[in-house]
Amino acid sequence: MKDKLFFILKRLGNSIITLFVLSFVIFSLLFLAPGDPARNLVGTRQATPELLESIRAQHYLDEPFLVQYARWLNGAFRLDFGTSIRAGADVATHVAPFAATTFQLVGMALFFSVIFGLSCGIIAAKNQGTLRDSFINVFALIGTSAPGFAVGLLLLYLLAFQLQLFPMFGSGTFMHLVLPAITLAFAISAMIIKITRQALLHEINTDYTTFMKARAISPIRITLAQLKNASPTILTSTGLVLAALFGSTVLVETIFSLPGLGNLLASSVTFRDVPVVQFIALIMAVIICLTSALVDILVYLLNPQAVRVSTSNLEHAGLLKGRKK
Amino acid sequence: MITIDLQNLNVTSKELDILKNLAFHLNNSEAVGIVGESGSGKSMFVRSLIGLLPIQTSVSGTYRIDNKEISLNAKEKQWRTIRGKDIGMIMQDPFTALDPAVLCGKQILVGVPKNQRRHFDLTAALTEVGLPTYITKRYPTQLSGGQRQRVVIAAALATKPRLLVADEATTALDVITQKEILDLICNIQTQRNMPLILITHNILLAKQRTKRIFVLEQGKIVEQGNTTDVLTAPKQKATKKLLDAHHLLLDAPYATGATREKVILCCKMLSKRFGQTQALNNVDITVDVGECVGIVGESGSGKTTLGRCIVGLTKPDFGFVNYFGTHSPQMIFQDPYNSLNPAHTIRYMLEEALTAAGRAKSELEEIITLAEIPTELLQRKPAGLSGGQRQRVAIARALAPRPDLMICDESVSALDVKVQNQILHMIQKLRKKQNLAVLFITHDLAVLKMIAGRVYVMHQAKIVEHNVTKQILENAQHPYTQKLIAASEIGVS
Amino acid sequence: MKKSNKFRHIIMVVLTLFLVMSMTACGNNHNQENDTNHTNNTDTLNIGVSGSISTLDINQEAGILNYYISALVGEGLVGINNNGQITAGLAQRWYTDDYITWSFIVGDNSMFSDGSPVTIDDIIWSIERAMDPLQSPGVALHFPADIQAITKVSDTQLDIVLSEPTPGFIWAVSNVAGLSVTSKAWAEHADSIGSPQDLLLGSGPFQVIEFSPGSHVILEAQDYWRESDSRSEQGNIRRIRFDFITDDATRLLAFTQGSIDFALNIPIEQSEQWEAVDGAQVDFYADRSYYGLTLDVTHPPFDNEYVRQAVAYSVNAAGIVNSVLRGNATVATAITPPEQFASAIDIEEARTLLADVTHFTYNLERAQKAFDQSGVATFETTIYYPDSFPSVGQASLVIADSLTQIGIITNVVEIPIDQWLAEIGSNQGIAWMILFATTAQPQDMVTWLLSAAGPGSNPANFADEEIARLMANVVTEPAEAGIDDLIKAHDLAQAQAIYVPVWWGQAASAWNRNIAVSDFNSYTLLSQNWVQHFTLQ
Repeated sequence: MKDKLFFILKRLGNSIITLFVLSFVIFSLLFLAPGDPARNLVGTRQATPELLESIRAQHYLDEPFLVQYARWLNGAFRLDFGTSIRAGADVATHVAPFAATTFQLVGMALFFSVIFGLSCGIIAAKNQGTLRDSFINVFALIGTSAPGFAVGLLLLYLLAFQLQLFPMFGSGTFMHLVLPAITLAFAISAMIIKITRQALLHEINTDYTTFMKARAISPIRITLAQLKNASPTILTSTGLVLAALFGSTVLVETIFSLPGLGNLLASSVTFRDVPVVQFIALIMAVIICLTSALVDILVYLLNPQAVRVSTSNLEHAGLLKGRKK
Repeated sequence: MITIDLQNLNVTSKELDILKNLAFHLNNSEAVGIVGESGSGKSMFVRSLIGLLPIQTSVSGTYRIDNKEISLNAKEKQWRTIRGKDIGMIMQDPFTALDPAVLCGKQILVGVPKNQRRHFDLTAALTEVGLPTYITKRYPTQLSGGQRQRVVIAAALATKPRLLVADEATTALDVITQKEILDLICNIQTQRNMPLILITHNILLAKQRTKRIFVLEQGKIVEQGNTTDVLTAPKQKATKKLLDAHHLLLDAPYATGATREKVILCCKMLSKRFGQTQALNNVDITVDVGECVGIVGESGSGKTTLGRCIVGLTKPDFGFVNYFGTHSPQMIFQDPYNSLNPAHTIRYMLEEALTAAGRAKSELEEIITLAEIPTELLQRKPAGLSGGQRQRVAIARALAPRPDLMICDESVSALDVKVQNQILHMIQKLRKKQNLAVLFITHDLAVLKMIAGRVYVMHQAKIVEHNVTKQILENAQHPYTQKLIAASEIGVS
Repeated sequence: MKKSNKFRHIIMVVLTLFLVMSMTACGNNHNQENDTNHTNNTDTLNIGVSGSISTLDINQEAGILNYYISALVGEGLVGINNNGQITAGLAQRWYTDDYITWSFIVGDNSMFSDGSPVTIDDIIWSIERAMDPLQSPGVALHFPADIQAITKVSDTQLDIVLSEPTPGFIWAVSNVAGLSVTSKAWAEHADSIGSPQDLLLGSGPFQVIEFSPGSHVILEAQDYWRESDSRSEQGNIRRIRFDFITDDATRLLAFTQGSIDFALNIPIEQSEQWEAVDGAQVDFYADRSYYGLTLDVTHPPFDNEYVRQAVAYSVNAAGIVNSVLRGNATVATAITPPEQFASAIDIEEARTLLADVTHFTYNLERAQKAFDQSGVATFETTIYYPDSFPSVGQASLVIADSLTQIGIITNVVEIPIDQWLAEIGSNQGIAWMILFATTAQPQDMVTWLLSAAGPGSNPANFADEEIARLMANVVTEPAEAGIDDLIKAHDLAQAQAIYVPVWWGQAASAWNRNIAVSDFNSYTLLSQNWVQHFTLQ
């Protein structure tokens, strides 16, 4: 138990350090962009000397860099990222509903794709070489190759327009999120299927599987044991896919007119709304760091000894995987 | 008590006959041995008893347990009533037979039938196999090979089988551990009054531990009967071949030592630590030009680390390696299945080795003659070669840079006895022809006897004894060496 | 045993998390509408637009959508009618003798949508706020910097004193310049004016009842509007819903399905698809936009007047309008389109006046002659166009082809819109100028272009004393009188081929059989109570 706690704390500690470094880079965005930071913060307003002066005062631009960073960080902890240049409102309040929409969208997509992807992957692995396997493989191929906008438009046209089962645009209810979530889930579940199938196939031909079979252990238990052994691979790969997912929702959001983080980030970059861009970048950094930490922790909890350094260090020294004679 | 009756067992895979017309009968609680070369079908036979044949095989025959007919092509569900409950199996490799992600205690329990799980005494089960209770809370990776095999045995016994099958159950273990495990299995068999089927390629083992014996060759039973009778007076050629191969090794003359002139390798005070474990502790080794020196010890004794330090794959923490040869020492590894790149043809690999050594590709002829590789193997990939052939390729590859010293790390341990013989003979020839010095690392004393002039005995990172081979084998001084000899076949025969 | 339980627990926790997330999506925002498709409630007008707004407060964000919504929700002292002429807003009457002191008489029956009365103090507070560039980054630049004083004369009168006579000042206090009067008391209490939490308080015929940035805005007829009694005669729409639909394909589908009744500004290239929808009507109207070339006189060889003439003769405006724009534009004879003059003179008169302004009609022979006369050798130049205007790109190719024929080898390069905006006036030789009129003041579109004070003061970097004098007159003379000077200034600049007008643009909007739309033009959605142009059937 103590080991587990230690590992979790260490892993989270890692994430926090990474986030600090990232926050420094994100903060520096304003200064890395070409031009005078004060001018960049002007946005679409008229750049009068008074305005520039007031911006300099408001953002403490005349103070040393590290002091500014400290102020910004302090504000960040209180969720105060300043005011959106475009909306004139508090950044966190303005961005919150967009973030909520994207979180829900991604959460739903995740839910669909994990359930669908995992089960199909398991079925494909267990029925390797049969028709079932082929079908699933073809689906996975289509899923990874089909461009997102094509899938989205197809779903929009068929299910929202022709059959009128779902709304065509907007946000606010569960139904608004289903089609976009399915669009995203299409590609992700395909990846999860491939990953799961491959990882599980690796475990299916192992000796411990044979030994379990020889002891008449129920096939469900055997599959669970194989999954458990395959879980580091499956979880880690899936975690990577998911982390990348968060930054790529903009296409789906545009097709379905969903006011989400992706769209907001894109337009904020165009409008040079630096505070909003910083906030969204930080959100994404947090999500990605937390996701990979969570995945690592989950892998460890399920399979502690897979993560531990091999105790037999002589295996380290070159003896092959235990084949000692 | 259980009765097994098998008639006309035929197993084919892709047009090839794996087992032909096998008949097998068992109706008491004795130990039965099944012997044969590797590839003779021993494993397939026992797998057909519990329906664990690989997918693309077809099987036919009559199979009866306790006079009840069982279909050899039955569905999984039906096999599950036989597996574990009637027949239990102990598998060969304890390092892969256990689920690495699950605690040992749980793995043992999982096999117990559901309604008995609550009353199952885990401690008693562990004691039966000679393990302390704390093992339940350990993962298999935290245990040694012997301990793991004991867990496997406990797990197999937890299903309360009426017949136990040990499929090469000790082949992957050390000599000393082998003896312990076999003692254990035979003990259990006697105590539980349970029949045992022992599968092995080691004919001596069968002689010691079984009452009846079946000899398999190329999928057919060629001889069977009372063990002592069959093995003292074999009637069939196959049986004789097995015995001969075995004695070949045991009765081989002692290897000739070299005239000790020049030193080719001198290691002094070598020490290496990996984390908590000390792998080498103040080790001194010398090898002379053209000499063959053996390093013997259990797994974990440090012998592989020593070899790697000499070749340069591992850097010692302390001490030095002085090599006086002109060309760098080459290493041949244990597993011929893993040391060759499966994607390349043999020709490509050897030509690559020649180029790396600065020699022309045309000199391919020379090294394949030295390693006795027939030319038709050149265009094949490793998958199309047998274990012995692959090891020859590895040796040829090692010969490309014309080394003065060759280090063989358990290079014949994964091979059949007959093939072992061939490879060892070839190495001896090489030594004479090329004046090649060989450092042979092994746990097998019989191999050492045949090939090594001098022997260093390693135990727990230290050299405990060092002498001419004959002296070591006939007049061991250190208690560990004595234990080793006692456990090995040399000691017994 | 324990291990498998832990495994199960983790799975349960993870599953529950997802379920919870989905639930929150379910029960999210109960005050939002829950219809899966926008079945047409009998009194709602559904408008689909392709842009979006991030705040309702026009002082903060002055995008065109903000103006359209403000026109219905708030009021300035004055407003405009459907013809672009100044009309009464909060002020019932206004007068000035000297164009320095302006007096506005405000009625006492105007109320905000929360029932509170509109007072002079509210108006003054709103004007001062709109003038402050720090508080109102969106609109402050429209305010003349020389307001001396704003005084409350009585409960119904307010006076504004300028430092110089400015006949055009009346525009500054209209909703078209961004003035939207709000309650001082309410504004000072609000955390963030225009946000989804605070929304907007105004005295217009409608109030905002719901706003979801990036998604939609819902307006509802407000009961305290001073003319609410006459409402029943003015059409039957009680609710207006703007949906922000980012993708035009989706918008077309939504229109076909009937989820939106009115699609504002559809892409002209797609107009045929919209017209094909059953029961749909597509209307094209001049959108008061100018597309033309700017020739930088400080960038040789464009400092040579004959070179500039050669360029001007090479532009086949009629060809471009017919082929590239498929007839959905008008060949421009001057910078400012005739509709921009609507507030001062009759449109037909404007058209005639503008047709007489000096401009160069396409004639490759003359182009060649002019170029030969210039004495400049063949040279190479580049035309950059912004990526968000593909038609401009195609037009560039047509122009480049002609120019290359006469000896000016022209390349055409597409660049991002931001880059194009940033590089205007930065020494490019030939550059595009794309202008959209903001207010309805006639000189609005050329205040910058014809500010002839030399490099930096206008995109062509040119100086001309006469043009400068004429433009100064335009500011000080009342609109009708200033028109002549304005036209003369156009004439002088175009005669020198400093600006080469190509076309005046059009926009298209579509609506279905659920509604009837009357007199829709580029002023409609900025005019007072514009909802009266829409009727539900």
